[in-house]
Amino acid sequence: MRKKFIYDNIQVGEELGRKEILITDEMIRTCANAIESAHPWYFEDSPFGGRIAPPTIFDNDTLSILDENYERFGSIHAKQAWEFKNPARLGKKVTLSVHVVDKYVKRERNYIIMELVAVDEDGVEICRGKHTSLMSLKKG
Amino acid sequence: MNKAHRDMEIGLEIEFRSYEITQEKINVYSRYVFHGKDTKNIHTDDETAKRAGLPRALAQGRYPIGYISEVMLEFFGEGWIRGGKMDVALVKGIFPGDTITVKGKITEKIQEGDATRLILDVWLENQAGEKATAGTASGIVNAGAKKPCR
Repeated sequence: MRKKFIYDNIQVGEELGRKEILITDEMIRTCANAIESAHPWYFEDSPFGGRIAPPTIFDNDTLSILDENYERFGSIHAKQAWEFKNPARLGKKVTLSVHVVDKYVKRERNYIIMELVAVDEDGVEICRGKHTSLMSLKKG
Repeated sequence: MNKAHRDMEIGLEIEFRSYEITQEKINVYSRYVFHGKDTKNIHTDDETAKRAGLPRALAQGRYPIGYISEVMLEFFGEGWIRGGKMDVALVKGIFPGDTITVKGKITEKIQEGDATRLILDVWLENQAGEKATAGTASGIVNAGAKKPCR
């Protein structure tokens, strides 16, 4: 059962979840289309040997993994940090894990920081993303 | 578009690219998020946005961050895929009808072995000249990536 997405329920250090995904042609095309990119490395070949995915391809997974654990009515994306370390290659399985790395109150508003780490089937770290969310949106 | 090279001067400002934000593009991004499904949420539906205390439906924050990454990929090439860093704050909503331009200014160069890391202030500027998203981005310029010869 999912917990309510409220500040006191969130524990710093908590693992929100992990999942394994396969980088597919459809994923790459859908992501590239959503950000209006026709970069040839996504559709033809790249200097890394073969097609790769847009670096931000995992940008939805932090919240999707959060939502498996918490009942959330929207939230405001306040900050985003990325470190890109290696390409996400077509056909590779990638394990994504998300942890809560901090939470804080600023101007009476509650924020949490979640970190996503993506590692491929060869143990190569692809990227790290830190997503800061303002937690409170009112529901009518 | 300019390509990053190690001889670029600190203080150089670059206007990378402009994008028109439409409700349809926001809907496309929403379908991408929800695996092809049409959903009513604060990004696709004005009434849902208003119930959440927002003036109307607005773009997903991470959607235009993707624009910054794509522009940096064109600028740095391989040095964005292996070594790119970005840290931005979403300071103002981006709405259908907005035109946003990815802009940057080179602020620092750091030597990392044989390569150079170029650090930029980056921001998304709307048609009113307001910064909607702002922060820093950096990437690697290899030793061989010198200013193109004329």
